Amino acid sequence: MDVLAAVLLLIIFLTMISFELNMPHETTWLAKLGEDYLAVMDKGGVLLNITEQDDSTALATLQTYLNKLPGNIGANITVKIYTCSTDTTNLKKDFNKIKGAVVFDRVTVRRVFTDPKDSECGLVILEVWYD
Amino acid sequence: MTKARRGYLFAITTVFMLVSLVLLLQSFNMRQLSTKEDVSQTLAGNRMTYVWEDIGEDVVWITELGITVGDQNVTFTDALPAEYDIGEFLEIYSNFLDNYYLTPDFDIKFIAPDGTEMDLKDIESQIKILPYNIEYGYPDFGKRELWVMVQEENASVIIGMNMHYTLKNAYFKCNYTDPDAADACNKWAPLAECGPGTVHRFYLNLSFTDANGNYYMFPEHCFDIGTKSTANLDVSNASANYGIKIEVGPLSKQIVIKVSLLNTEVDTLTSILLNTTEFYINYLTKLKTIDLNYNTSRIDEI
Repeated sequence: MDVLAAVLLLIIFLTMISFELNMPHETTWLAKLGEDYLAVMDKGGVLLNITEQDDSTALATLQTYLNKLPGNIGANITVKIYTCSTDTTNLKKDFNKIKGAVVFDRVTVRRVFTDPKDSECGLVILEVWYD
Repeated sequence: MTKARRGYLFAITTVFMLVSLVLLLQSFNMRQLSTKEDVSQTLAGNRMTYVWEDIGEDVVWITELGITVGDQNVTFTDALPAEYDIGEFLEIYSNFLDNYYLTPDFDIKFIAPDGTEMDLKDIESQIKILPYNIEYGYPDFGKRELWVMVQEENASVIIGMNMHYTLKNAYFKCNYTDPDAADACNKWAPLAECGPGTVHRFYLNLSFTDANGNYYMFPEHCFDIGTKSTANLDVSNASANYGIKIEVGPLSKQIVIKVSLLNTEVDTLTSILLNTTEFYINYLTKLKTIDLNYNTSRIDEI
């Protein structure tokens, strides 16, 4: 009898733990972190600067900004810069940098930016996860 | 206790505990589903806000026009003339949003001040302060001319204006230090300053900083906008003819102030001071962001 009760209690306890571990609030937090991160890069002029940098400088800039993320956050950032006109949109260059090992559960956010004086449109895609 | 009784008690206790376990699991499962739904809705809400802010900021960046509304004033930051075809680039940007930025579960719409759906390239180049129909604008998005206009019956709503122009490619050719000099910058012809019988008084602080960092403010501050005053600020650059023409009034043509540029590039700050807090802005456009999964949307002015 005592053994049965103990086994049932153990099952209940483990079930509760497993549910709590799967709580999806972390998705909201990660999405907000990613959106804020990109907004800061955009408003700070970092994305616009990247359009004017050579490849190695642009990659170094991205690495610098990835390193500013909290230590327990992994990220994969891709910046695509297009020359855009009324007729065509062509990929001019793109850059990618990763921080940490990519995992299955990750959140993707994106942001658009533009440099009208040089007829350029840009898209930045950021994946973030718990490292 | 007999063996049979112990057996019954054991069976009842086991059933009771199993039922409790099932109910507990069910409760957790429902809570889990509810939380996931809440989280998805929060994510959708957050995304609508971030997308609205992202696109809104770009539209301000492309038009180079920022608007700040205070209790009794509206401030416009602007850049004149346009360095590129703003209307065309708005169309390009709009296409880029559709083809590259927006995901299949998300949509945006630009809404005209009258509430109808519109293309971003079709936004008006005038902004109105309502219900007084005070208009800040240009003939088109080439922005070679900037005006503030109002109908005569609403002119008294405007107390005055602070305008500052930062010249990016020209410097003062006139004497900006001595207002009594023969070549002083404040050459008005004609000039209608306020007098005892002035009906439409308009207070103006009009100042300039040239490309060399020199500062000049017109010493005339009160105008009778029932009639017209005109000044040509003498600025230059070694390469071509430069100039800035300033017209204050007349209200018969609804003009409060009109500034025309000849080859001069400027950043401007225009603050319109009103005698009321009861006004609202008819912005260039409204942006509606729509989450198609949840059929929810956010709409706000840019």
